[in-house]
Amino acid sequence: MSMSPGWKRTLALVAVVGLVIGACGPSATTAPSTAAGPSASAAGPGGSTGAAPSAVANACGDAPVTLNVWGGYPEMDAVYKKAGEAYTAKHPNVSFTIFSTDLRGFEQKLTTSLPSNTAGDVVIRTANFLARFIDQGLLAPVPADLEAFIKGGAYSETDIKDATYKDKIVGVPEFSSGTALYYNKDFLAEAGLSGPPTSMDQIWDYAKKLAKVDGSGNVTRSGISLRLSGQGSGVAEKFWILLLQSGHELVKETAPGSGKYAADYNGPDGVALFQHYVDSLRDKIDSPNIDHDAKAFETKVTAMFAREPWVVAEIATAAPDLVGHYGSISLPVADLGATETMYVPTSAPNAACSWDFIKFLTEQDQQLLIPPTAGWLPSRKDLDLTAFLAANPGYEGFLKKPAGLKVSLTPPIAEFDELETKLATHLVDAYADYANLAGKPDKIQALLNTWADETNQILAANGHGA
Amino acid sequence: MIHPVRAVRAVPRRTWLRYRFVFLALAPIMALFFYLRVLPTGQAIVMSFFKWELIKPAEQFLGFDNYINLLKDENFRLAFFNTTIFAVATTILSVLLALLLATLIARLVGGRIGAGIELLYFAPVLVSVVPVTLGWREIFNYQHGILNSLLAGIGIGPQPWLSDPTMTLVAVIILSVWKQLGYNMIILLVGMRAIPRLYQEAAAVDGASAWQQFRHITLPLLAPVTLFVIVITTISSYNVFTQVYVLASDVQGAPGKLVRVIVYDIFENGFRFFKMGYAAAEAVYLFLIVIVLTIIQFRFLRGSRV
Repeated sequence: MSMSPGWKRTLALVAVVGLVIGACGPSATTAPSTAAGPSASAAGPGGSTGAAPSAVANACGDAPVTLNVWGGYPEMDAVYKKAGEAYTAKHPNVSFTIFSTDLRGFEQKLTTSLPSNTAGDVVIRTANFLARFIDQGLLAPVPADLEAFIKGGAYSETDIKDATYKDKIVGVPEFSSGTALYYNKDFLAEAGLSGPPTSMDQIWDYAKKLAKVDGSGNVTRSGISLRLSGQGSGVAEKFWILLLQSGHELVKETAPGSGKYAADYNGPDGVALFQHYVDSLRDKIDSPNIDHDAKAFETKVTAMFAREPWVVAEIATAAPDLVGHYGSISLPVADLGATETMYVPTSAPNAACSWDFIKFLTEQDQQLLIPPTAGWLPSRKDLDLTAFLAANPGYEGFLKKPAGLKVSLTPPIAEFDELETKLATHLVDAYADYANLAGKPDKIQALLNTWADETNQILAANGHGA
Repeated sequence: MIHPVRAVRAVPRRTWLRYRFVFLALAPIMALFFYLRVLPTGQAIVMSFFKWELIKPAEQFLGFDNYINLLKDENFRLAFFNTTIFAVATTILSVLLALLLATLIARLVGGRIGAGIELLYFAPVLVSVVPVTLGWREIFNYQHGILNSLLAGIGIGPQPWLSDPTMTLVAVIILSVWKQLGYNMIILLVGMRAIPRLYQEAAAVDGASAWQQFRHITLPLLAPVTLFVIVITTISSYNVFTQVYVLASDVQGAPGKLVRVIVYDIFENGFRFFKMGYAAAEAVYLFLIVIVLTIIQFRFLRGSRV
């Protein structure tokens, strides 16, 4: 028996359309330990251990409970694990699973799991990132006693502000971030530089003196490792941190409290900063072809770079020979603050227990575990970190801030990540084109204006345009 | 022109009954295929006409606005350009090289050595893309990568494989051709071995050279298999994502320029910027591009068949 040619063609067509539809669908196959810990000697408002107020005696009941703690910083896992063990010692029916992945992967996981009510019992991320989810009621409000505790003096104004969205504290600060300039003391001495740079002009000047080029003209050591590539918004964020030193932001609120913003990076200071980037590439102070960031600093491929405190802990384990041969110093004018805050999803089955664990994490003993275990800095400001700093001088740039240092925060607008990521994409492309842009401020100005237009359009599309 | 509905109606009842086991056996997988592939595709088409955020579905009906805005979107245009270059280069290179290798193996090598060579080329297909890409990231490293060392051996200076926009695209193509080559080669080899030797022997008796045998016997008889390989490679190339994502991921320490491709752009719009409606419109464009290309390939290659 044989089928007619027409019938065969029809079946073949159906098979091909099916194949194409299938192929376009989602693929099923593609697929510090630092030298010394901080002293727990400080007495906080909650007593000798700084216990958060109103800890519920039996918030987790007697039945077995498993709390899933989710974060975007794998180095923090050990902190949550230790805290979980301590909590289990007090509440034997409570066990923990700790989940973390790289930050971008974690954000994507939250993006799909929060709306589908499958997220962890405690999730830790910035209020800015979670703003959309808060708007949709997917995260539970902070209990009144915890809110009162946060406002009660244990946290800095900056951390409180960063945990606030639409005039309400929405999350509980766990650990905080900032940026400092790391420098290699040996390289500075070799170049005849007596101390770390204390102004932006000095930073650029030092970078020039510290860079090394081989006989073929290839950069073998960058004077300063600038963020030139990478996914997401990081490239724009690093540009922003340096822009802050001249008093400008990526987007600035047009009038305080107005909720309207406009691009702020395309003025003369933005042009000058961008010019520093491309000129540094042209002048072989940095190169797109060599290692960057912490890896470059640890392998002595760069003399200076700006980064968060976790690098101190990483150096202690990944490059112990560098310990004692490097230092960190606060950026000269301003810093970009970020506070990782804790939330309980509205759908969490053991909300009372989850909040009780969050309260436990805010106790001084638990907060003091953070620097020696993960390298990040605790959010509570009422901790005595003097002995810790003495034993870990790499943290100087983070714990000794000059008077009057301004701390900027990410604006509380949901579309900020989109405009920052798109700016980062433009910056990466423009840095790659440094040969055509170095020494050409008019071209740079035109580029920045184009990008600023896009930023303003995104703001306008989301109701935040000036 | 044959009308599909009329063609189905023309099938006699006894034929349907004779083949009912086939339909019954296929029913579960077709149901799954409909649920997992056809239905989501339909949903994506619906979403593309709305302002649809990941956590705020169907906010506002936009008509064709998402489609029109995409045409003005610089990122989408760049992604389309990069993906097309990538797909064309990967398809041409991986199919031609696979054809060459399959011919050499079929004609010159046999037995265990032949099987060993086949396994060697097929091995990359068996390995997951992520670890393979991480390995290639080291190979492409500007300062200490093997590739630049090899180039230095023949007097060529180091190439910025992971930082220059053009070279990064070339790097992704090299990696993808390497990954796809073994699969294409095996399929073509099976096709070649299915061609009866009788034809070639007869041609040899008539005095045809090896090239003439290949050109006038092997290639035409291999056309259906070649068509399959080209279609599959084109579809998978237009859906490229993992390689570009991993090559540029976590590049804070290593140089790495992201090659923007359509699936990455869809992923960014949908899961980073929450614009699911916009991302869905982009996915529909990708769907149309692939289906149009597939039809063109079918028509072109069918027409060229002997």
